[in-house]
Amino acid sequence: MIITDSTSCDPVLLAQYVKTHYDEGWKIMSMFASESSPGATVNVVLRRGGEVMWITSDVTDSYPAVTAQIPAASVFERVIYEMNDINPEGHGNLIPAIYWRKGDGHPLQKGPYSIGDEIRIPIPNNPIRGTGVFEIPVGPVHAGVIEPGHFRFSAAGEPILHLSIHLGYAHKGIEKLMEGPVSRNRINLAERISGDNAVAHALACAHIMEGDAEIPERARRIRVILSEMERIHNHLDVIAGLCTDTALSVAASYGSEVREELLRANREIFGSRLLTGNIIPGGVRKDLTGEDLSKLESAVMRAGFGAKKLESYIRKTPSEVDRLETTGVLSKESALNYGTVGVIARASGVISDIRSEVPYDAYGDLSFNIACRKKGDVMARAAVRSDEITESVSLILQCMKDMREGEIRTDFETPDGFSCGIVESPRGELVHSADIRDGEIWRYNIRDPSFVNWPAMETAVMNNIVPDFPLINKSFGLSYSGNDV
Amino acid sequence: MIRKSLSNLVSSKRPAESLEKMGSRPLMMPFISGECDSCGECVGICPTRAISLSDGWTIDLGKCIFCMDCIDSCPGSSISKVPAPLYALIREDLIFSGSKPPKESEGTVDADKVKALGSSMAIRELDTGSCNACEVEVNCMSNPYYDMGRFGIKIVASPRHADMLLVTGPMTNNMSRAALETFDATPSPKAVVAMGTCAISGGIFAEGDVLGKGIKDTMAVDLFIPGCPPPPERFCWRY
Repeated sequence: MIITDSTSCDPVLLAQYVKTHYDEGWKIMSMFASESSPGATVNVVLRRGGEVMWITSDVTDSYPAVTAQIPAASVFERVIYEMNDINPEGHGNLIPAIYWRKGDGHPLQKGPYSIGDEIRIPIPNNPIRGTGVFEIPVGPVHAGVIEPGHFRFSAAGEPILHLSIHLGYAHKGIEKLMEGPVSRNRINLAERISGDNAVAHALACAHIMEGDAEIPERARRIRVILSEMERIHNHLDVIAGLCTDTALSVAASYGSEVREELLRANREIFGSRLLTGNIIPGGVRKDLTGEDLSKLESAVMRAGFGAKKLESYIRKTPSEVDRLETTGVLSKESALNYGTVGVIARASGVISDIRSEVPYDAYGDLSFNIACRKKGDVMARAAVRSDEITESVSLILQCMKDMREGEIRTDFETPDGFSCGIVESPRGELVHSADIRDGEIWRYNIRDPSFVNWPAMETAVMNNIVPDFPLINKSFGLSYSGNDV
Repeated sequence: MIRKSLSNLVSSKRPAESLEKMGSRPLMMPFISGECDSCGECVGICPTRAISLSDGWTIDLGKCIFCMDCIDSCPGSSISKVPAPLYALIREDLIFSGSKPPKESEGTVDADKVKALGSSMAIRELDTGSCNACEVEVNCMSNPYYDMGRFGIKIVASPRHADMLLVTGPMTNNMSRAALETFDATPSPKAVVAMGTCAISGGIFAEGDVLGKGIKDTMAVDLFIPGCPPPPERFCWRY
């Protein structure tokens, strides 16, 4: 992905500079700090439509916080504070976002860093006090089979007055592991940032490595097929999960059955249930034969049909509709302020889709509609997912139609400098940013869509009852591992 | 897999079901099949350093993430896919070389422990920072295709109700304390199963912000299940 504009800015003016662009319609995609000698650099990646701007600002150990001007920058600056030890002055809420430990130095520093003398930062209590207000801590080991995360609800009776989400348990230091010589096996690591979005993460990483290389038409189409297969199975999982959480057992079983059939088809056609190992820098690993294509067609048609039937199960059950509608409302205003992306933003009326705004691989040659709803409740998010499955089926069929024979991989050379890999993952806009110097990855930043969507959930659950939290959580369908990297 | 290694947990009167009927395909692992001239291409490409040449061509299945890059990289095409074993009771049983080729898993967990656990199995899944692919597959075990409930295997909400901890993930530093508390909260006798490459050896995250190399460094493991992620039918299969 080519950066259309790259500027440098004085740290004192950074907040104002970003704010000026923000008012002109630029959105913060990612924000991170990297070490340079001397001091450090704060990087801000902005996007407006198909334009991508990279702002760098050399700082020593502190700078005026962007959060003071733009609330959406809050979570990024919390990470900058704990991972790079740079103080965003005037931020106001610098509790750890993912690391939760403090030692001598900082975890992303170049050279040795000892975690042996670190101390754990205790998780703070909620600020809510009052008669009859009690606090419910949940996690990190949950009742279901999900990833680790800690939630603190403040409730008076049933309604939730306040929710604090504390993540970081799945922090594995992937950004640090990514550093080093550019090598094709980095993509194996990228696939394991969030296992259910393996294709999207691998694609973002591949886009960075490939630079300007022209990927063969056939490989680009297979990449779209892989991305859309992943989208279908993720969305099916969320919709089936909503049915499980509301005890609509028949629909839940049906949904998980449809998904299992799709995962089995993935294994038959692509050799892996979760599609790992298919994207390689410069193309794709496996070509599709005529037999594969016919299997693929029947698999996606069945999945598309299954999604429709699943939706009708939900719509025909008044108690289910009652449970889903008006639950967990995220207003359009909040969606914009938090900088939410993907399904969550689209269900709240914010139309944004990387596939049409910054077309990558073969998306530029294909036509599709962007699913959108206005209400921003659990039902709206389920409906957006259901519609997207239909669009994904259509995209896969378009790709398969008149797919020409040809090469599936090409040679590439990774250019030095800043680059971005931007992909619409099943969860939304996914950004990998890299600073490559002399063929070595100097700094690699991963911004999973979950990272910007998690804080929005704190607002969406407000005034809902505690038992509806799992439902709202599932409707967001966020990754813990992708957030914590 | 659980069925086989923790045998006799479920009444033998229940109908048998073969792996084939569950739609299983064997998990394939890379293994040397032809002549190896020790060029070292596969060692260099392997993202988890699972392959070594110091004592002949050796692969550690506990480290392998099944990316198959070694097969692509081999100039003599000497590496091919062979069926991987289902499980191992000790870590060393996952290391294979020319003189010790992969074979069908055998043996069961300590008989006293199996007897004490009784006739059904309550599992607490413990995620110590996995990439969530293992969770996807554990969730799939409950879908109508596998439906592990019919074998008496169920996922329970609390470690206090569990006979077995099914541990995924590389044991991150942030999660280690909660994981150990979960381990302590599980009543004895308990079985601990390390599921997936991360839990066995740390896998691709072994050099990251994790505690030890796999969960065996923090808790006693009874069973290792290789795979990245291991397919679901390997858990609920009985024969």
